[in-house]
Amino acid sequence: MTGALPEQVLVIGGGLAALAAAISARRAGARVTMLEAAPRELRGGNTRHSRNLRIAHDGPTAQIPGSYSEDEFMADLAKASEGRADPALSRLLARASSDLPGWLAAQGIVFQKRDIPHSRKTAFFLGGGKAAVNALYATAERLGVRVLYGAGVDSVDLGSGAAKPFHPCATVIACGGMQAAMQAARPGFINRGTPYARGEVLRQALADGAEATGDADAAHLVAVDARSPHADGGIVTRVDGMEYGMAVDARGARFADETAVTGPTRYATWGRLVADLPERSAALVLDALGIERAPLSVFPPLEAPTLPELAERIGADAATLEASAREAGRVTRPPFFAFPMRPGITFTCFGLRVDETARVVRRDGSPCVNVFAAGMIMAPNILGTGYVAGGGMTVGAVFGRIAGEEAARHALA
Amino acid sequence: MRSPETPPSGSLAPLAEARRIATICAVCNYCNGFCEAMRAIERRGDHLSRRAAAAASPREDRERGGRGKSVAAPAFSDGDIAYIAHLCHNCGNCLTSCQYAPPHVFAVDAPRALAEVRSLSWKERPWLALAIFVAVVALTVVLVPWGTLTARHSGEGAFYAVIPWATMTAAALAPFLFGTALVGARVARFWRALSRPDDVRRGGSAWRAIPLAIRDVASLRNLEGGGIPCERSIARRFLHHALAYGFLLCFAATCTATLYHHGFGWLAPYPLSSLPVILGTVGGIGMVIGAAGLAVARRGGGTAFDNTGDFVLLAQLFAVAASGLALLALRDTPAMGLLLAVHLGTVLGFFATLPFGRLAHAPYRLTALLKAAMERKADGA
Repeated sequence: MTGALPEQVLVIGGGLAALAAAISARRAGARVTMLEAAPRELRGGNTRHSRNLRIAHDGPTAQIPGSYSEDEFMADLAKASEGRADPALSRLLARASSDLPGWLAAQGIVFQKRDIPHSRKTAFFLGGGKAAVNALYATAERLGVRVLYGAGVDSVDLGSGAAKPFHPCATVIACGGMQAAMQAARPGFINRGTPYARGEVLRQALADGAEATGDADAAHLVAVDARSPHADGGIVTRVDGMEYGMAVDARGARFADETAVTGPTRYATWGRLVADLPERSAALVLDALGIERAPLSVFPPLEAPTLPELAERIGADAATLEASAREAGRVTRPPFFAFPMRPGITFTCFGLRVDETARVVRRDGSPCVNVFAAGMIMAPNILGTGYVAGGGMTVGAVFGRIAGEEAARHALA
Repeated sequence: MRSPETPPSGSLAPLAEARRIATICAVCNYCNGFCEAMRAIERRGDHLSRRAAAAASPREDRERGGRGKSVAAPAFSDGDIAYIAHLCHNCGNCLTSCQYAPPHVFAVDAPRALAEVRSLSWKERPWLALAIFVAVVALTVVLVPWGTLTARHSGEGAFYAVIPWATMTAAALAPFLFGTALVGARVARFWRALSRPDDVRRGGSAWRAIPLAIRDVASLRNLEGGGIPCERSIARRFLHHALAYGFLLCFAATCTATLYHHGFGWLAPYPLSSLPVILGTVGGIGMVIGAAGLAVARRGGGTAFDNTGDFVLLAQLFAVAASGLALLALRDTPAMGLLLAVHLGTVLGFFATLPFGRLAHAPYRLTALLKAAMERKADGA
């Protein structure tokens, strides 16, 4: 513990990026304070709901089969971001990713070595993101990082790096995106991630002259069960199995070809489709065979012996629903089932421009001297409005580490 | 099926709560690297998801629909839940790693929920054990002449001077055989409940999986948390081993003594350097340390499902071991007669409650691990 001494590096946030920054700054010799907005039991930001990291590697290791070159990683980023990925930062990310399993393992994270879902591009945390978060907090505390819980921050002075009431030598902003703010602004949206990503620091930094990156209206969305908790539902709330039935809007009309996308991108596809509906509300309807084929769901399906009765249960128009079923041809055998759907926000795609030392860049192009950003608040530099599995976690770890080291270097100079 | 956040109520609460949690675990799957319980959840979750998708042809579809077969959303069966519960070693790793652990609205606490399901498999009868203990001591005091009971006996057959060998053997054997048979029948029923036809097909030979299952039982490998052993699990593993292996050594001591008696005609008590006494002493010390340590560790909390059955069993095993050691230490004194009655009383009470009590977790766990080993072999893992 640093006791009453003033902190040299202040880290705002509590997820993987913040932890990587705090640990690397502390290991570089700085006195570090971390401000986690959540209470201790809900610490870790969206990392708590994550599971894997995207890693470039030349050959199979205990954690990842196959190989995944830096160039392939770069190409995937370019494709996902539709060409908007900052080339220098992408190169930096892909290159630095290969060191991550070793570095994170040295900080206490255990990677899964058996029973892993097949993925040659990503390494999995044993026990998932919360296990990883627990390990990193234990290491940070053992090293003497001061961690304050329930300590949200509204603003950071881009000139001095101060965040009331703290006056550090350097500040790392690693408090995630703004999904809670976006959810508040859009009735009907559900936040799958942490409710503590409120975007206040981001909004204030932009007002103070920081340059934005990404798109303020964009978010990674998936279709989630409408009965999900308003936040923190994580992975289990998503609705899957559209190809075994039909997706209908609030009236009961189909709005997309359910069999068009069945690969891993289907989740994001349906999230966008449901969000684009005027009511931002839909339902997956299955018949007796479809319910057996659809993946297991944590929410019980709504059930009815006939389609008109099911229409009543989901608030749709009976004739429209029956016409949709005839059209789809997959919803024929009673009884009928439905899962109500809403768009669920995973994270937002809007943040702060940074340079290769993770310094926040102003609109005039000049980097802040002692204010750094890491994690989802700067991920749009690389991901744009796109998504690659495990990409956000890798951005957090790589740029958290860079930001922590650079902040310590500045503080100790 | 209930919503993921509604708490269960009523007499089916433990099963319903475990089913709710297992469903969330099956969909999330982040913990599948931890242990056999989580892998069993994953396998059954996969099975429920794909039960029709993989096999059914359009013709089969029509036939299934046409027969008016009752249709329900896929769900874990009671047999699945019991199986998963008996695979759980209660290490707590999945709870500390759970994104849905309390205070999350889903309130997922798998170790507690599964412990509550396990506890349905036994019902402690501490009064029965106590009654038998009191009866044995009282009968000894009443039936054995006071002079004989408090005399100093030594040399071969000293114990039988107080309580005749045939009486002692019959009193011990009857509840032991009855208990073993009853436990056997209940475990067989458990095995049938978890051996659903499709799983039998997946599982393959039980015989070939036995070595794997025995290794899992003997090592408590599942307390390794797949690579993240929690702090409590290290102490618990040591204490459990001390108790379990101590118990087995004491059992081996009894078997050896039986062989001495019938095979060679050597009568107890045996010299300190003899095999039965060495086995019994080491085993007894292990049991005392293990039982006391586990009781303290349980009190220490963690996931802390307060299972009185645990304490009753630990107290019984402690009493059996401690009275046995006391008998050994004081067998050449006038206290021997009474201590013999006390020890016999604890042993008979233990045997009598065997079929109801918490020790039944051992055959249930072995059975569940055998099933898991079969499935692991079938998966090629």
